[in-house]
Amino acid sequence: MSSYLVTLLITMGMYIILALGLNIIVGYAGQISLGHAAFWAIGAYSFAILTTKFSLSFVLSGILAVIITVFIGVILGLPSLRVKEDFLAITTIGINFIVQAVFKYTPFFGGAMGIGGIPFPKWGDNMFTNTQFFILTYIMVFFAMLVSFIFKRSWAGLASSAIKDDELASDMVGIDPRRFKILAFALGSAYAGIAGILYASFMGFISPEDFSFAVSVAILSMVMVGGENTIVGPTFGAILLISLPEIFRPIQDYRMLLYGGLLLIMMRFQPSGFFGEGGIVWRLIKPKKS
Amino acid sequence: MWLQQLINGLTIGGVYALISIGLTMVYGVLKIIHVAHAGVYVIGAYTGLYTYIFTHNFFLALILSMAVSAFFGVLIQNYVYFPLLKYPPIVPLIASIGIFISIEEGIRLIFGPYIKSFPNGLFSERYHLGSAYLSGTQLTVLVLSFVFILILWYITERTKFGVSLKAVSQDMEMAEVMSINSKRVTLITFAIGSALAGIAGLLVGVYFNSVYPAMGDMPAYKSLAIIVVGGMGNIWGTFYAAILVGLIETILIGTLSIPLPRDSLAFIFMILVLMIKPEGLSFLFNKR
Repeated sequence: MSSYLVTLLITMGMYIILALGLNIIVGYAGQISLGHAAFWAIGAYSFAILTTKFSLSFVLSGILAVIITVFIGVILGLPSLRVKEDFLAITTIGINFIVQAVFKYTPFFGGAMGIGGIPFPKWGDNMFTNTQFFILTYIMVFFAMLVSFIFKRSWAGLASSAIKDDELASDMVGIDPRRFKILAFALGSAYAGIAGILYASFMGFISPEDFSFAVSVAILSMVMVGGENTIVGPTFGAILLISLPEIFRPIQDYRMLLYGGLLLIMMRFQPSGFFGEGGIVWRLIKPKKS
Repeated sequence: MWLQQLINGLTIGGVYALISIGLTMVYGVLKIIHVAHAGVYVIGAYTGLYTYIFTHNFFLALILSMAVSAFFGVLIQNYVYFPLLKYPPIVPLIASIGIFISIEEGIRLIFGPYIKSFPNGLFSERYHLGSAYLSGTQLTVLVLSFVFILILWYITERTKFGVSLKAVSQDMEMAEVMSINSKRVTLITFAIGSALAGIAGLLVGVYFNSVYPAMGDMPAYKSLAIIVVGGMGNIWGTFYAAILVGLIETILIGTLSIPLPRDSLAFIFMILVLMIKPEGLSFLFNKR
């Protein structure tokens, strides 16, 4: 495989993990989050700091980075206990801006210059090749899908979807919404943490600009365009929204316009996305009722 | 020094108020986070700029930018938001972000990505007030934003339409039972809100003497923070919140050196308000 294709596929894999993680928050538990890039940034930055400033090994700093991301993710998910829907959407936008600003204006985190020299993973004494990194990424993608699959069918997953359908009613039958909202945020940020480690390690250099609000919008769009509350939906959404800019490279100037238009048209005419409940793909596959 | 900060803060606050009041009115009737409102604001700025370049008539520029913005607002409401009302709020939100990206990109492709400015410095005179001074553009921005807010006050508090607007905001179905045409009220609300956004775009363009496609990015998200502080859908809460955010920003940045960018202050303020008083400043207006 050419290195261009490998890089593209690795990027795609990271976004699949991110979209699946956001899907747990948005699709399973029904909490709007427009700040997923903030969680991604926390994963990437904690990994970068642990490897470059404390020179810990790849695996150890990876594990610590995920723990830190989950911890901060739970704290940042706390507003979801207090505010709902539209307020939560705006609060998470705010969280995204504030997290980005903290990384940008704190010298410890490298400021606007970012952090460089983040190590690649090693196999014995040799550095990973790009192909090996690609395999590592897709092992993670596989685990992300597996955990999503198990979570959705578990008791906790059912409780989350009950909260999504009707928070008050599920509270009445003894499902504590607070516990499962926090669980969803914890799991979603664990995914973002893993994606952050992969990103920081693969790029070797991160800066606050990589985790802007526009990235959060892109991740949420992947979930919604693909179809929330499924596993195939966010995966497909990530593949679609990452490959479209590459396919449309010849008309690069119009890419963002096409992206905006796609979001508008999908939401206007196909609100459940490609693979969501009653989505376009299922309708095409299913034979018509006679 | 303090007087100067006060003037600057009020000017910025007035412009924020114009943008956010439109947004909060829209939220009040449809309960949709109208991110594309900032797109309408950019359209208003460009319409005003080009009208001024061709006619050198500021009054005409103002009228046209109001009209064109109102037209686009109604278009968005009628063809995108109305059919999406039955879906969960995340669907119109993503659609709105899609519209916002499309508008900004469309404008960038048509008019180019460069910063454009008003020819031969509009309102270049200066007025001295003791130690502070007030530039002509500042005066224009201040006067016009307060004039339009007064007009809005009259419309919402003293006319029949204002009463129907409040009724529809509280309960759309019940308002229809009382024979209020809620679709018409929503359309007029969008027209007024978008016209205010258009004026705000034009005034910001005049104030900083620069108009560019990405000028809507910052207001798009800051106005959301402001309407949360103002209590989502509450017009006068939003007005005070906008003035307050304008003043706080200007004074904190101007006097203390805070290591955070100006634009994240509104969000920090918002999160503080949410944690202390989730209903925002609107508690000041509930007479219960």
